[in-house]
Amino acid sequence: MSGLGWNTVLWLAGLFALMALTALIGVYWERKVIGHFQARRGPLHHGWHGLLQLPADMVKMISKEDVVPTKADRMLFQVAPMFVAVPAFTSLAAMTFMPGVAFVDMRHGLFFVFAMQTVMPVGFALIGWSCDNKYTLLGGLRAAAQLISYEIPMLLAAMGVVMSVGSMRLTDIAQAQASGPWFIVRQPIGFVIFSLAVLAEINRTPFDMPEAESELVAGYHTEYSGMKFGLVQLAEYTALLMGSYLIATLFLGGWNMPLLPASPVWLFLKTVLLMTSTMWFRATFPRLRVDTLMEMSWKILIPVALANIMLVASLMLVLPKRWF
Amino acid sequence: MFGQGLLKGLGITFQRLRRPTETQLYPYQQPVLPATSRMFLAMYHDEAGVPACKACMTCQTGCPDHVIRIEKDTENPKVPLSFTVNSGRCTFCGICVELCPFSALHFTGDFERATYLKSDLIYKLVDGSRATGEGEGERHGR
Repeated sequence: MSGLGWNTVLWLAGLFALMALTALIGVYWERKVIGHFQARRGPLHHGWHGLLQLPADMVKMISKEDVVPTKADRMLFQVAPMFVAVPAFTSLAAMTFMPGVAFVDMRHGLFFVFAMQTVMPVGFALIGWSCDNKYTLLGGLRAAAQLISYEIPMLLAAMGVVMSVGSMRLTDIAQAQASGPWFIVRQPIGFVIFSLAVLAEINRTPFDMPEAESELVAGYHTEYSGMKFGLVQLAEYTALLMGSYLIATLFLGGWNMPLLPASPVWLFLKTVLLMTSTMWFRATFPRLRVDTLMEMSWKILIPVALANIMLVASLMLVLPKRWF
Repeated sequence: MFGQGLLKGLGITFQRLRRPTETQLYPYQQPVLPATSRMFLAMYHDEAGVPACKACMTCQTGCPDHVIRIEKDTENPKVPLSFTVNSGRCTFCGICVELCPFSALHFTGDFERATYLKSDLIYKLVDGSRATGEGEGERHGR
């Protein structure tokens, strides 16, 4: 990375397009998939299978009136969505699609992604605070509490993988699964903990307490409309993309496929499959209570994740290097 | 085993995914309506267009909502000059169809009569002693 060359600009444009397309197609895909899970059809009327719903939604969101509540903290209200959207977008910079194909192949890519995701609860709390509305405040505080609680098991579960690879570079982690079995086989407990924590990190059902419609209207983004709401949604879908990408890279072999040549297509397929399965969970599970949510993190996931690290460490000592 | 219920739930929703959807694609596909469904009124008439109605006024007097209005030909009292139905008032109770001694009235399968103006809901089954054929629609029932 030296200076702002064409290469950088193209990469940035590509990543931004990825983020926008994920949010757009993600909304459509989610409506369609959840519809079919509930024996409905989803969007149908505009274009082929309702595909023109995408541009229509986008235009609607951009052209909507941008309402600022009278008693809101105006400055914070305007700035707060950035605290959510910018870290989400920045975390995309660490994505690697193949060895050598990355915007920045960071030596501490995994660390960078986690660091960026740590900023997001600040944004959620700010959004909740700035609106001067009890629902947004509760939603923001819940989001902050939940994201902070679930970061710990997520990091601890990822630590098992990092220990056995010996690197935090996402390329190294995926390449370590090229010859041996994937980490889902080597560290199944870590996989389960990491997936659950990611599901909670991205505020998706059954962990969507911050947006619990039945209690909090729409949670922290109740007061937002127009493009500011669009930014929050953009950030949420980017977090979904990033979470699915991390699970695919850390535990499902990344761009590797047994008996087949490595290709970014596998990574894409795994990510889409994981994103779709979060929608499957949304169509199936009711949401947890706030206290059970916290209990699950602090009383179950964190102790099990610590035990997992001990297990991995002991197995690394006992088993041959090829396996661990 | 712990988590068995979660897996069962996931299985149930997955089966839903494979099953055909329940949605009725109404504007694109007409629904299959039961043969006994009561919709807009129509009048039987012969090939020459002479209505089966003999202007006996039974339906007009029997209608609880004053939907039907018949005007007789003064010279020939067995010929209706006009037979007007104000479907905005009709509750589709079917009393007129049952009362008619000549079985002139019947229900059609036509239900798409939403209009902008209230006055458009009034339609004539007989106009100037000729059947208008209004209300004659395909029955979408079995």
